[in-house]
Amino acid sequence: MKELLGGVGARIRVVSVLPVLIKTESPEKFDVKQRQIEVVLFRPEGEVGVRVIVNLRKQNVVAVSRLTSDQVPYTNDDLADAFQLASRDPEVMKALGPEAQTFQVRPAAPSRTTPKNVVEGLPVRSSDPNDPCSKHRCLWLMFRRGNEYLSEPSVTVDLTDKRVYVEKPVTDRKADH
Amino acid sequence: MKFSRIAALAVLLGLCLFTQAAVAQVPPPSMPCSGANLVDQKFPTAGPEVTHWRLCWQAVPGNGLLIHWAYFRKAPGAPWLFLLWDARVSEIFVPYHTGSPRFYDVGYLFPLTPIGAADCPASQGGTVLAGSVCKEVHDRGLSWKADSQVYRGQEVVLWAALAAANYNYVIEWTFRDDGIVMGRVGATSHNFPGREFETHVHNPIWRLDVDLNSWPNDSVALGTHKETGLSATDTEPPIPLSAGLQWDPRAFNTLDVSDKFLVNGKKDKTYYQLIPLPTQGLAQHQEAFTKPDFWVTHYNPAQMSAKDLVSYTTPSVSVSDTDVVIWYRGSVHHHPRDEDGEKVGGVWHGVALVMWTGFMLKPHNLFDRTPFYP
Repeated sequence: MKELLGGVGARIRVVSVLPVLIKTESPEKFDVKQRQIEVVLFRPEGEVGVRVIVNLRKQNVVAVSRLTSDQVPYTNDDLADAFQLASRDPEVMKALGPEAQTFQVRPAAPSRTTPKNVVEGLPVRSSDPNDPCSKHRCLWLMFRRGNEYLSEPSVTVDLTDKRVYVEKPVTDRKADH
Repeated sequence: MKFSRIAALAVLLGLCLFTQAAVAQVPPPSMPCSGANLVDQKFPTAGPEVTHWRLCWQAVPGNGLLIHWAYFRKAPGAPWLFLLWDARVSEIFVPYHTGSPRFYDVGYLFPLTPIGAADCPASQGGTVLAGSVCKEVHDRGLSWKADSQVYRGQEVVLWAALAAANYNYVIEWTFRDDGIVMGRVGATSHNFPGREFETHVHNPIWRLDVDLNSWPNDSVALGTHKETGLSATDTEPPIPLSAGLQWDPRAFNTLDVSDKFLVNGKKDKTYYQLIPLPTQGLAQHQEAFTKPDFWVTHYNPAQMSAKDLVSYTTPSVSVSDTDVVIWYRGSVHHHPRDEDGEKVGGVWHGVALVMWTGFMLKPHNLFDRTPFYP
């Protein structure tokens, strides 16, 4: 695992920690009380991911497998990175107007109350080989004011190349027909 | 007279005790969950038990609401039948008509939305579990009818909503009194900001680890109907190797999962059929994993991602008498309409109403006769 993620000092993110049930070869050998967890780790530098299965009862690592960057789920850490990059883009700040500084990353923990100005992200992957987002980790940012979403700006952040793309909104509904 | 009444009561009591003893023959199976995550539901909800579900659910960021382990008992004295190891929405792929963007909505570890009594009213049989999952136990309409005879069925439904940025995805699992399982995804909330009028398709892809009668020893066949002249035939050619397959609605295609040893009381082979329930149609996109509607793979605990299905089936491996996983992709074609909202002062105001797609897992020759028929 250390080999895959780099040595001491490497910045590693914990993506997820979940209890998992993994089958044994035969049902008779399966222990319903097995305590195994799956940990997904991600090193942003080089975009390397690792999936580790840990047996808590035996306190050992059962399996380690490498994940390619597109196999690692996105988290609020990626969203924070993307928003930080977008915040440096004058076009994005201009579109957000005087309230630009009040936007913050949507909290990861669910809440019944929506913060006033938040940014959310959706993973996007292109099928056009000429589009960097066909290979890179990219997030599309959406800006939300209370219960409504802003039509502008439309922002894609290429987290791999650390680039920001701003798109003009589509206003002509006939364009779809 | 008095004596004969007492004797009759004694006989009746004896019969009741005998029946109770027979019912108690099959203890509930051990489950890998407890508390609110364990659903133990008998049917009918009132009166003596006929059928029974026992299952676990889990809330997982990204995938939303999962089912872990589901057992069904077709009669109080029957053994518990293991049906599901794991059932989940593996991906929700959302391409827009102009070619971009192409979203992978399960690729972000989105949480479930909190829910309350307004989402899950007790008057509809609802109970809120762990603040984000609704359990509803209720009437499901007609189960069968024969002139003046009628039986209304019941079901237990678990649902939760994934907060996927501008969209909420309602992930729903239904377990019916007749052994049927249904999975649905409903897309709702806000149209895509800035592209509110652009048509797009939401493609949920379910990964269903069906372990009929436990694992391994499962096989899959493609239920196929064929018309020749005035006659028609139904066949179930086996699917020997892991592969992706297309669903032909005119062939009434089903994925039939069977276990080498499982038969009902009439010695007829038991299987569960995956039946697509599209609302409007099924899309195919540029991406290779969206070309087939069904996939059959060998169980591998590391293979959870629908977008990687092509690599999971290359090269093909045997899926006969082994541990199989079946996959199905549904589609919601969302052509925006004024009912989705309106622009007020340059800001989109309103929400998209829920649009559903799903499937059914239906037992075939599990019971020996019509369930719930007197």
